[in-house]
Amino acid sequence: MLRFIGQFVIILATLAAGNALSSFFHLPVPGSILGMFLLFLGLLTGVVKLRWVEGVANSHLRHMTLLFIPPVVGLFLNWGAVHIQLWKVLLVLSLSSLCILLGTGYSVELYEKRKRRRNE
Amino acid sequence: MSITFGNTLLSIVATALTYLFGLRIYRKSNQKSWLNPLYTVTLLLFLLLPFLHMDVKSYEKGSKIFSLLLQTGIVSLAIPIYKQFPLIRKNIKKITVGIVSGGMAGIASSVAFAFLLGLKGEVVASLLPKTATLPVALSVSSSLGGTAPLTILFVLISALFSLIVGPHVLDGCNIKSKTARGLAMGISAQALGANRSFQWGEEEGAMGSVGMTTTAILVSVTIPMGMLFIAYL
Repeated sequence: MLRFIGQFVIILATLAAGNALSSFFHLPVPGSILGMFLLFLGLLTGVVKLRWVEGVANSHLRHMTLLFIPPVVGLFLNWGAVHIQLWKVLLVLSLSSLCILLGTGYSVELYEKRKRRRNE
Repeated sequence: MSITFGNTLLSIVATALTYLFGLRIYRKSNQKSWLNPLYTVTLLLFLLLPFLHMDVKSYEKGSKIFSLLLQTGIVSLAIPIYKQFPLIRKNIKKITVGIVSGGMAGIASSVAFAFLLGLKGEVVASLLPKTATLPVALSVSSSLGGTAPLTILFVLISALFSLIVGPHVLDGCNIKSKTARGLAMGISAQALGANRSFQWGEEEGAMGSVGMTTTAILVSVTIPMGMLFIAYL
């Protein structure tokens, strides 16, 4: 338990550092994402050891769903106040999902084909 | 003061207990995807909260602590990225080609279609970061002026759509490359897509999770920077 808390304190400290960086330099990138970069750099340079944070991070990520529940419940309890035209939103979401699938699929396939041709 | 405290405690305990219950059902059912705790727990809480004499406002106030945990969750994403780093470095060009064209196609098409259909600013702001994994999408959307509930709804709808339609589209368009298939699923359907591509094989699966994490990085950096650039103009 104590180890768990210690690991969480490291992550919390990284988050605080990220938030401080973001507000100090007025960066447009959210502090939590800067914190992620800091922790990644820490791991890469060996300042932070993987076993110091791995346990708590893995269980944290596994139970991420829990954190999405309150806003979704809030949305449904408050549905009357939500003014979105559902069919328009659904249309945009599905069309842009198709664009993502095809954009990624074709570009990578094209890249691999060109590379293979160059190697021959 | 004590009322706020009691409310907070009640919201947390009710949410956590219902979540544990939902998780039990999910695991007992051999992890059927439609029994995902997100659906069951949301439904249960929706039915339960009126009996606890909780209205929307007090529940939203009480569950504020969860948004702090969302931020530490984003920081925790550094761990899978670090573990995948050797794989990312080996395939850096392919992955860059994939996420840049996929991610940009996603952002550009959302803006274009939203503009054509005349959607409002708040909705568009919640729509833009939807290719990023949920916690990252939430933090980007809130910095753009989007709302948390809409962002979650949009990310989930597009992930489900891509999960169901994606494999058929890739087959139909004759996209056979393992990297292309894995990346496409990971970028369009995040964790769900990565999971799906593991069913195709080890290589597709690894690329699926790489696609998910690298897109999160791309979205979290380019959208805020782009907004700053537009504001500057």
